[in-house]
Amino acid sequence: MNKSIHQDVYSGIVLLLITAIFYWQTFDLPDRAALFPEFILYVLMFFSVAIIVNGIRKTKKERDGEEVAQTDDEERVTLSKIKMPLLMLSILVVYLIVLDIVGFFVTTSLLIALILYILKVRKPLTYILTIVGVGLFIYVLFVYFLNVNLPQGILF
Amino acid sequence: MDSSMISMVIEQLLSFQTIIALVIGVVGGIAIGALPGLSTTMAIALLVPITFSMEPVAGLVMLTAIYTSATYGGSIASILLHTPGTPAAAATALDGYQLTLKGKASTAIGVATFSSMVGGFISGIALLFLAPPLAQLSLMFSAPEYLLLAIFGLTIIGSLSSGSMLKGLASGAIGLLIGTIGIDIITGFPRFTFGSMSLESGIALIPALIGLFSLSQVFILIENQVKSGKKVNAKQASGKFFPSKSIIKRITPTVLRSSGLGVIVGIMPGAGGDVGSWVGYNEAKRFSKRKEEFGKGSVEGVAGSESANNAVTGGAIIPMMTLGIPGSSATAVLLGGLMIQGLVPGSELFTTNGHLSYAIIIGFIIANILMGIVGFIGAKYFIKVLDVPQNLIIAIIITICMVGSYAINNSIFDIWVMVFFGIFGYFLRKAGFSTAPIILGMILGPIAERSLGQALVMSQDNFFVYLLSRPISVIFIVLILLTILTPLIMKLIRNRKKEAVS
Repeated sequence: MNKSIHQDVYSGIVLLLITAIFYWQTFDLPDRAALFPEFILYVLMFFSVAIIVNGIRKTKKERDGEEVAQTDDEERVTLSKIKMPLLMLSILVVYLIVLDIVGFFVTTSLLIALILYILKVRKPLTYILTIVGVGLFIYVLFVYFLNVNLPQGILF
Repeated sequence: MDSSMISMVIEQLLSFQTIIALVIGVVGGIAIGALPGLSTTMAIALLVPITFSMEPVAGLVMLTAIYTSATYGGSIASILLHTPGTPAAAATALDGYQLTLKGKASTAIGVATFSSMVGGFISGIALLFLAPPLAQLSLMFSAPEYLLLAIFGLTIIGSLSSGSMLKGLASGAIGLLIGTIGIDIITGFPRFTFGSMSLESGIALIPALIGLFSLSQVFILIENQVKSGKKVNAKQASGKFFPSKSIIKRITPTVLRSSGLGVIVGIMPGAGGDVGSWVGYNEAKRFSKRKEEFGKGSVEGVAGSESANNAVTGGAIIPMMTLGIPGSSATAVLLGGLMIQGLVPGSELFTTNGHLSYAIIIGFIIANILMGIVGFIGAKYFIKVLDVPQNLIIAIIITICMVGSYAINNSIFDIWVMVFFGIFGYFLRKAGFSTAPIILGMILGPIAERSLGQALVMSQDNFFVYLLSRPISVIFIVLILLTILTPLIMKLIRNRKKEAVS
């Protein structure tokens, strides 16, 4: 027998928690500024509860061995599934912290190399071509044509 | 349009920047669309920051050109690999891939190119003639109508966008909530900034949409990092791409019918190119004299879905430009592109800013023709795009996401916003929430709040009685109720039938 709880229950609980945190924040606001957000938060609270209730119904259905309809990208979240996305997320967070210190082009070259590495690219030529190619593309488009001041970093 | 307007439109279109933007939009759009896993919406979201510092016409012509070209480009992978380049090309894979197996890949691509071009062209003409009168409607709107329009936009996108209506509506509400972050315009009080100075100006729209549509897609792509085993044999598609006269004669009725349907599907908010292509395909089958060929390599099947999904593009732009309600997630991103140029949807877009709007629309029509020409000449080169390893593409897209979200305000905080929305969008999609209503909520939230304030003042004492005294408001209220109640009633009826059967 399937013992797992449908993930809609968790989604609903998370949504309800977020709603609660935001609601708590409205206490400090003057009435006029809190009016519209409070209205949205009531609506969200209703939706979160409805999603939880629906999730419980889906859980029952699944335990009875019935099929539960899913939408396009919907999938049971498992650790093995989200391992790579979370790894990528942590790389991006580190990148953003380093970016301000070391500057854009150096950090980004390292980022590209790291991404290619975890995606199991091993040919040195691919690394060089991708880093040089992307770097040139960004330089020409953003710096030369669009006059964007990319972060220089304080080291250089 | 008077003659001075026409000359201004021509002047806008013939500028060097516009022509370059048009060519890049078409070629880039086809290439991105051809790559499996990269959706049309993602392509537009990635390029919005680039258009930011361009002239409004050049920028928007580029975005609309990418919209239609990426939709067409999706057919190439559908036909050759049976892997749709974009979700809108899924129906094309049915017969397109069968044609490839029979060694008729170039015929299939030729038919797809021809149908996409005609479908897109027809939708452009529809846009040109339907948008201005519709925009006139918005002249009759005042605060209460704008409030109800915003609610209507959210309910319809939320309930139709994908599968679960409850989650769609919840997404819309999340978007509205995100839209309230920052300093409240009326009281000057910071709301939900959690003490952060950077949040006081609110969440920037473009980084949020790059995160929701582009970075979240990257996260989905890297889940299963398997090496793509399918190699395209370029020889499969050689020879002439332009369809023969007999084929054109055979598919023309299908192309015209599916284009018309595509435009209608596009205008209806909430239904995007993927819905359009299935409708176009099914109707092609229903009217066909050779139904037995469908699923086994029918040129009419390819023509039906490809003309319809491109016809959706122009149709979906109509409510986006006239009412500010995007018909699909791609147009939600386009709306973002329109707004960073300082252009506001509605009647103003066709009067004061008419010279810009008509130039954009005519640019879109030209883009569709150019797309056809580029497709016929260059299809054999676009096939090579399929050989580019996905790993490389992932690295490139992440970098462009970073630079793009930075470029709008030269702000590193905006990259943090983008990354946050990337992972947020990823988990939302995993949990079955659609991301388009969030963007819509962020755009419509401030409009709704402002209109609510004004409407409350206008109504003086009884708000609901006041709303019911305004005819257009009543129409909107009825539409909103219909949107919410119809699916519920349909479900009830279906359950009744089920019970009756069992």
